[in-house]
Amino acid sequence: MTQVTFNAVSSPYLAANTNVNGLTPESLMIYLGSRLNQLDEKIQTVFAKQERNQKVQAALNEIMTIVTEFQSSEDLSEEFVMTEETKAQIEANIEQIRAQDPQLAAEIDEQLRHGQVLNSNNCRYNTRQINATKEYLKGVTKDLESQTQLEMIGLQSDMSARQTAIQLATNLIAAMGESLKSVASNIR
Amino acid sequence: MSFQQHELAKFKAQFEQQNREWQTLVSAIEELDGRVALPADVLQVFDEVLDAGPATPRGALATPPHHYVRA
Repeated sequence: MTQVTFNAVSSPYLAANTNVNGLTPESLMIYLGSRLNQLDEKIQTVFAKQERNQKVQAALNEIMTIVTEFQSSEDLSEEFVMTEETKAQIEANIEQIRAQDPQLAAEIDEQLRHGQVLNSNNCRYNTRQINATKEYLKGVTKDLESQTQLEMIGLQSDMSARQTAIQLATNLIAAMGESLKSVASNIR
Repeated sequence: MSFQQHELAKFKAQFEQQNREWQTLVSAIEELDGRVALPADVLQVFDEVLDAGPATPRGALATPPHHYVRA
């Protein structure tokens, strides 16, 4: 994505025509550019975080799909064995989460290895552990979705403020241009 | 594509569009060539917009008084 820097450096004209003592359109642009830069940093941070969350959610969904396909029984304690490959798939998904959010990955790893499907070193699991894993993953996913939605609302508000500021400046400058034309035509 | 991905893509497109509008604005100001001045309180309006989120722009700014124009 193109990153635009809102400052005078991007326009030699603005840099050459800035009058800090008076409110010229150029000084308005410098001021507004500075304000928008702050907002942009915030927006870019949220963009990046949203993308990370999407990758984490995809990995969580993948783990959930694997666990859902596990054998289960009415006897919650009856043990089954998963293949080494299946275990490696779960671990690989945890690693994908680690690449985006190491803290969350550590927490998931810890949970899955204590009382959940990765509890045993010899790939054994029971229905009680499947159920606990599903509940835990649902909780993590729900928390992540809530966080994502809240950030989206904030992002919408910031984008709207950015749009309003740019539109306002555009309208203002356009109106100034029209006024200038009108004065010029009256002189003629 | 999930709803969230769709929304994020929409915001990114909006962001790019705003950047293009900004560049148009820079060009428009270059065309004015320093021949106009702005009301002194205009920065407060932008502060209100950027500090408080979306706000209704003041209607007065759409038609600036002629005495602000240096012919």
